[in-house]
Amino acid sequence: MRYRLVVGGAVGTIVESSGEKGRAASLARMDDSGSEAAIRADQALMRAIADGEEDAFARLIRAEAPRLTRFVAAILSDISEAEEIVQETLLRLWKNAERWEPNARVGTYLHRIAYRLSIDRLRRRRPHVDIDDFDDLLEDDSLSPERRLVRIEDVRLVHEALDRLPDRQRAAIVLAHFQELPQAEAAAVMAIGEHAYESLLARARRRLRQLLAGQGEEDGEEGTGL
Amino acid sequence: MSKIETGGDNPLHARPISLEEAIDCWGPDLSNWPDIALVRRAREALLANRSFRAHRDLAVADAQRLKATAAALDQRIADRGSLGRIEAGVLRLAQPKPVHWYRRIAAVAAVMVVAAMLGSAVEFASAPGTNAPSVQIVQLDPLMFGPADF
Repeated sequence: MRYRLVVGGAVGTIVESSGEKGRAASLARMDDSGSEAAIRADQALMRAIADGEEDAFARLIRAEAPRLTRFVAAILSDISEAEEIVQETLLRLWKNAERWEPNARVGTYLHRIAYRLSIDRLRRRRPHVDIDDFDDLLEDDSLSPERRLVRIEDVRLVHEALDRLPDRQRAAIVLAHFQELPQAEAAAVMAIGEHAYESLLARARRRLRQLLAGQGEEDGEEGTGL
Repeated sequence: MSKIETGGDNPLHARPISLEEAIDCWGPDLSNWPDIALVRRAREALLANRSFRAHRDLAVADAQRLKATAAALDQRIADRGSLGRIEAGVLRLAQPKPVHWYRRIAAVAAVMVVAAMLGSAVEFASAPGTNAPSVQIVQLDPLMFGPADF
């Protein structure tokens, strides 16, 4: 995971609302002109979408849908449900484009909506592992059949372990390792401060390590964690 | 491993943290750690402390497994054609946005300007081309020319 800082002013605004003003201010000075340019590009794109340009919206869908789908599918362990959530997320952006303010990247904004919708969906049902057809995966011809089987089994184990994590811990792991979001952005997606996200991620990594090592059953102290 | 106090002045992390905790917080790649002093200690510990090295190796292995799992999920999403369905569904459900009044006024103004320009251009282009007989009107000044001159 890259530990990168997002645009100072923008992140400052986000983190300030999470009660970490001082730290955000110090981080904000370490600015990144590349991110500024990206936010300006986002602004232009969102203006076009607010004006009803469907081509711009289609461009945004093609750019953001793959990552969003991976994020939601990893949280929900269900690709069909992930499709519904991603559609709903993108439609919300289309409807609210005029009210969008450039406090963060569009991708972060979309992740935040998708995260909230996913958590709502999880509250309505217990998570389940939808990994029936992982056998079709990883058809890498360079691998021997034995190695391929080992890799499929490993992916299955990781999915099972992820599915056994508490929802917020799973989200923290997915944001860090699947989405590779910087900590500031991941914290903004989860609407928590960066310290809180760091602690959550650390707990999630420890718990995942235990589960992958087969020790999850013995140590249930964090089963109802954040 | 003993706890390391990073000091309250450090805005990046003002709480005690061990090297193992730092790996859990910031990941196994030391170049991503925000605390330089801790990075230096971690580099030393990697050479000198076997248990820390094992902890870090395990974190690296877990990160690689998660990366492989993410790649497998991407492939599965692509195989199921989810992205095409999402794009088609969203574009189908997205209602066209109503055109704002200021955009309507701008459009009408633009049409008028273009029409005026076209009209002027036609007039300008067609005027010299007409072969109608020219009539010259001469006005004579009555102070210079008397009735006899007429």
